[in-house]
Amino acid sequence: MTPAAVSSSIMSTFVDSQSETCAQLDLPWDRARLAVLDFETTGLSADDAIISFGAVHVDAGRVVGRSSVYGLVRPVVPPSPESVQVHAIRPCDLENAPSLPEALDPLFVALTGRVLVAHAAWVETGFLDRALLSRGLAVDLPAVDTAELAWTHFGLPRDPRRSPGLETVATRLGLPIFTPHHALGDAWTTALVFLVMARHRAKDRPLLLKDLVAASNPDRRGGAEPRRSWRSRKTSGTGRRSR
Amino acid sequence: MKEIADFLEGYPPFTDLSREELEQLSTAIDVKYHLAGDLVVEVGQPSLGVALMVRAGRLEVLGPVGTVVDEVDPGDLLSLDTVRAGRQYAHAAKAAEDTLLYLVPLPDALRVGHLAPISSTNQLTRPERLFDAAQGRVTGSMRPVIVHPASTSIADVAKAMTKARTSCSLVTSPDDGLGIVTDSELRRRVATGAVPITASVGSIAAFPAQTVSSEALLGDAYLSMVEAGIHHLVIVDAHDRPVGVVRVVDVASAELRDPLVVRGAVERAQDADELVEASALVAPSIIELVERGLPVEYIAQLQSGVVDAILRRAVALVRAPEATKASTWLVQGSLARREPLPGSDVDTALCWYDGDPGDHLAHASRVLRLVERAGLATCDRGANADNSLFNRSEDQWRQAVADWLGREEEAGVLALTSVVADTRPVSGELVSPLVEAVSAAVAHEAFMGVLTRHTLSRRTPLGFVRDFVVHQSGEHRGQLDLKKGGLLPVSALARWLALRTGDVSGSTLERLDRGADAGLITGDERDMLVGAYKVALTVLAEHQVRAIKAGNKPSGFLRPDQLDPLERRQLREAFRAIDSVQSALAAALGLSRL
Repeated sequence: MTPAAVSSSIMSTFVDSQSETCAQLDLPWDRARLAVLDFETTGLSADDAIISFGAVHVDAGRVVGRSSVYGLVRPVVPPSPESVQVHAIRPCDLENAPSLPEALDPLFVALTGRVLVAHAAWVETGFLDRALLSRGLAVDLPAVDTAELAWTHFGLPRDPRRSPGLETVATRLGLPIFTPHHALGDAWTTALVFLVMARHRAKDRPLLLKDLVAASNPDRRGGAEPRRSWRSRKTSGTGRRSR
Repeated sequence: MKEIADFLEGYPPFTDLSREELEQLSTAIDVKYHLAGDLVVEVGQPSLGVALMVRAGRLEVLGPVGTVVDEVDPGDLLSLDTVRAGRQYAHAAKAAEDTLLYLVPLPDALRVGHLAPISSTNQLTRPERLFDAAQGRVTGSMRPVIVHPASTSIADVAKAMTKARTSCSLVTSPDDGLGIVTDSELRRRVATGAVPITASVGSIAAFPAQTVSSEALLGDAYLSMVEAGIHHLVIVDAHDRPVGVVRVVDVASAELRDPLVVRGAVERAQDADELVEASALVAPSIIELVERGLPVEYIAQLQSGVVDAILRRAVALVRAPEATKASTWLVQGSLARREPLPGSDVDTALCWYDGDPGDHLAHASRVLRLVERAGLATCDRGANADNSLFNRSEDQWRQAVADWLGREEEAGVLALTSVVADTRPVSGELVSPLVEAVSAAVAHEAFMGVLTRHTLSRRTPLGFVRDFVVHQSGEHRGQLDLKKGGLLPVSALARWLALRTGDVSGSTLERLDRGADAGLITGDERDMLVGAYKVALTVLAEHQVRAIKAGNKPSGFLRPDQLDPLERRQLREAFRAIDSVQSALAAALGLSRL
């Protein structure tokens, strides 16, 4: 098979496994299979692209170190000088990296059959949606958003214009912070934040994974408001996230 | 994962891994989170196959009735020995607060007994690196030798030594074998005119020359020089052929030379006052060696060499009726095993062959008063040669052994054990009643039965909760009896092994080696016990030195709040290691430990 055909097959498998993924939603959170994901990107507009990804599995309530995956992606447009200051990945670091869609093969393998967890998850699901759409594939990606869970965890009123920063949340929870603005480092920090918040929510009552997904998408609760699209979110100006 | 590798790097046993190994290990770690009150492991739960390390929060280890017997703080590992041995958890553990745990698969390098004495860690920050030097091969400090037949004239040998810039020559004699002549001997005997320079070198050489294998460690070579009171050792190859010579000045740094200087001064003392004056150097030199971080087991051997010399010199200097000279002075306990602590008492006994009992007691009493003047403490529990229980004729010792063996009760068994297994003559051969007693005791089934049960019933503390020591009974105490809780369980076990192998010589560490060689314990168990013993010995020696310097009486007790976190962690692991070996041995012998 050509690399493109391999990629296509990996992505199809990912999409085909969505029924299995959705079956995870009815499980208690600490029996479900999850994948915590983080992207570093050239920016947050619709024209921006992924430059690195990191992911780690959470199985049976435990972060599984050996499942860690990390990779670089060569974007069509190189990262802006401003974004390089954040993630420290220079255009020259990406020269030999694979480009889309092959670059994401290991990631889609890691995500297959698993519910996503991310901090300000709309960014990760948005970029994944686009990667799938470029192949003519479309699925609804259920995700747990640790930034959304943080509002209720700390008993703060939700502010729809911003997200609580990952490092701030981890620090308030007394957790170690892994290399910030490194996709795998942030994925790990997010995984620990997820463990702590899920365990606390499950303290007095059984907690299903779908409860966490619902709590992560307050706009969709009761179906009153349709999920915003990537573009509408970007243009509505609510897209600033501090990570 | 850099963050994980950075964290592991700060805590034993991971401190021994290279950065590369740490990075590799960090990718294999899982993470769990527990809320306060969660049960983390249950009693009897099989080993998870991974070590549980607290990253944030705190675990409490629970005793049989649910009392807290230990705390596991960030950086600490829960029941490392359980993981190492693949055993079941002996205690339950619960989260005392919300706790983040790293599940660490132990690399093979860390799987086996791995407790390192604290001083070897401190050593890294100390410039002297004495430990490393002492662990090197003796051949690293070897000098070339010159050899002359015994018939060569002293003048020719002296010329050859000057030309070769060496301080000694080996001397070969068809009758006496290999001997040695040193420049100090030339100065003393020839320069004073006692021996003419034309005489043959054989007339002033010392035969036989003390030798050491080329495989020996430098520290061991140094110890044998201290014990023999000599300044040159001949290094021989596997065929006993001399290949070089090692001098005490090459072996010992200036700091290390102290015990030999002290010993020399002791042996030259011509009267009681000179002995007292020379002995005043013992305590400062031991303190200095401990503070310089030399392994405590080495220091203990140096110390016992010097104490032996003081005792021998005191016996020689105290005038005595002729008949009392037919006697053998014995040392007992840790000194007999050549592993005294800086503050250890000198326990003595006497075996005599002729004369009046009263004369022997009176002489022993005068000797021990001089020993006390020389700054050594005699036994405050009465194990002294001026006590009639420890001052007996050969026949009386033989009778005592028979009595103890016949009684089959604990007190008798313990008395006999210490006499047969922890007694050493300060000069000459071990007295025959005690040699005979070893084989009699080993063959005596009831005796060995009582000894086995008693040995395995010695319990270590479980751990520390805040500033209390928690004992297996659940009792909390404000003081840690480290001698009773850490040293005695291991030394008793080693003594029991020594008796079972029929060879009671040597230190606790040497006995453990022989026990493992004989298959009575596994190599892993030996390593666990050796590590635990060194940790307890090191912590206690360092605390005793602090007490001595502060002008306090050193003891086997210390307060938990005097322990730094590293000492606590190492002691806790040491206690658990000892306990798990005792349990395994008891189980193998079908004994209950309650």
